[in-house]
Amino acid sequence: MSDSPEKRCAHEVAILPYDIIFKILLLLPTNELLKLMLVCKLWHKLIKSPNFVEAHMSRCEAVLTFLEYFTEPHPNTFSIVTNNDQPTLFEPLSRKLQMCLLDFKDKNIKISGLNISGFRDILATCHGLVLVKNEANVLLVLNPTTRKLLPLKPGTIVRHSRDESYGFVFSHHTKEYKIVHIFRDKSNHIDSEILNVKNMSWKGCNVPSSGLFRDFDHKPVAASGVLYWLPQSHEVSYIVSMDINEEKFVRKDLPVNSSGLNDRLVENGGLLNFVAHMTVYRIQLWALKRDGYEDKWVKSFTVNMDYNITDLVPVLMTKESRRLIFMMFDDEQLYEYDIEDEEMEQVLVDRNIDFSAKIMFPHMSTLASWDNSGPLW
Amino acid sequence: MSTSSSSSKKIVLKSADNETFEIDEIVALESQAIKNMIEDECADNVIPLGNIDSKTLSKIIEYCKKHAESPKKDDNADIDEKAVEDLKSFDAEFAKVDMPLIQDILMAANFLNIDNLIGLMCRTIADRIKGKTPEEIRKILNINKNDLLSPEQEAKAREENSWAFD
Repeated sequence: MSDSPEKRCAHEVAILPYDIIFKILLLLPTNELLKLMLVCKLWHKLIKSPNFVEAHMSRCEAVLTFLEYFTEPHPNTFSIVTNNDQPTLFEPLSRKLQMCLLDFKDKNIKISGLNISGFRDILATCHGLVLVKNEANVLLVLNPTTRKLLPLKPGTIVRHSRDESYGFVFSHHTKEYKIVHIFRDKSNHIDSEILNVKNMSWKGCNVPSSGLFRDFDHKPVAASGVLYWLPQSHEVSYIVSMDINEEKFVRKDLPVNSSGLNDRLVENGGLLNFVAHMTVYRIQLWALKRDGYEDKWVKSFTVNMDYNITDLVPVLMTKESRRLIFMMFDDEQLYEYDIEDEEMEQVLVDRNIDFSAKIMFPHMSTLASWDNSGPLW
Repeated sequence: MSTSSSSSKKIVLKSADNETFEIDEIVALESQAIKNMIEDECADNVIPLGNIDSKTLSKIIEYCKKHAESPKKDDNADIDEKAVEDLKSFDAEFAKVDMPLIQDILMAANFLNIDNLIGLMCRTIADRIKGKTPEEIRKILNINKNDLLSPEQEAKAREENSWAFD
């Protein structure tokens, strides 16, 4: 199989055309592509091109990301803290919160550390970019795969994180990433502001009507340029949405009243899904689909089990829309429901992790960036 | 039009080095480009392929024969799994050739528009460059020396992603 030099001279190998190189590189993972940028000018340009970044993103697997304490960080760990020489009482250097990924490609779930530390919180994710606060409470956008980092201007400062909610969304219309910050101000009113990542300016936006948001327990979910919130932890009959091009809060009734604490919104393939616990044995999944000018809830499937499934919290739907991943707070385990086979199975994780205190965000390892020279899409 | 008469029809392909290959029309139809030529009735008895040598063409015909004989996925929802496995192992064996030939097959498959074969060859190349250094890849794929990054560009790109090289 080796390519002998003699043969090479005798046999002029054709240089592969651009569209073929494009197809080959699409098959490779993001970390490999970062190396392949050095092969030649053509590859460098191709891998950085917005068309390629988009095509590659559409093939990326959905994973979950979360923060985890590492007692022995990898020696090559990169920290997003600028002045981290002084370990503090609260955060000794040997116990750093690191970003991790949960990968569902195979039956066995793999956890991998990204060797990036110095976080306080993950706030939101979008297209492989992550909105975080670091230990110094600085707001940042990070692509943990390419390790590109962008510090953001702070918005309105809120004392408790339970009094605010961040949404992170991409506008396909203006090709810009935007961050929506909803918060409870000192006088207990709910207000909102939007940051355009491109020009880095916060501006006040449409104030949500009184009582629209009750609490910020649930993180918003972005699907096709629209952010969606479940506005209360339980007993809720509607969701709040914001189309990022219109920047207005809109109330939309849920297909069924949500009674459970474990009902959630989950994005899949650009569509919003509502996962509702109907009885202790039954979960229903509804998709919000465009029907003419209106969005309509369409029932996708029902999960029926002969045991109590009320404690299952939906966290992710895999890319091929085949598996719905649940987290169980009580026994700290993950479960996956196979939609075709209608089977629920506990999934084995290759490391001992206490999932009970974790907030997990859907994520992808992409080449996405906020400052591609051309339009991103 | 009955299928039996069309499947027994023969097509002759002529390679760049003037070797001729007589194949069943059904095998030739694996190529979208030849299919279009036949449908537009601009395929004479002999189709000259001036940019494909006989070594490459015989590999392509071997591939098309196997795939034409195998039941198609969309024909029947429950085709037997053995046939699928059989085709998979055929593809795996087929791809075990040296890199210049892989590239020739890929260029020819691209010209003849044989989608499955383009996919197989792209996957094979992707697998072979995975984990290799940029220098190794330049050799494997015979990258044009005039298209290399300038030392400054390379140093900059290396520094930006230095952690990816560990």
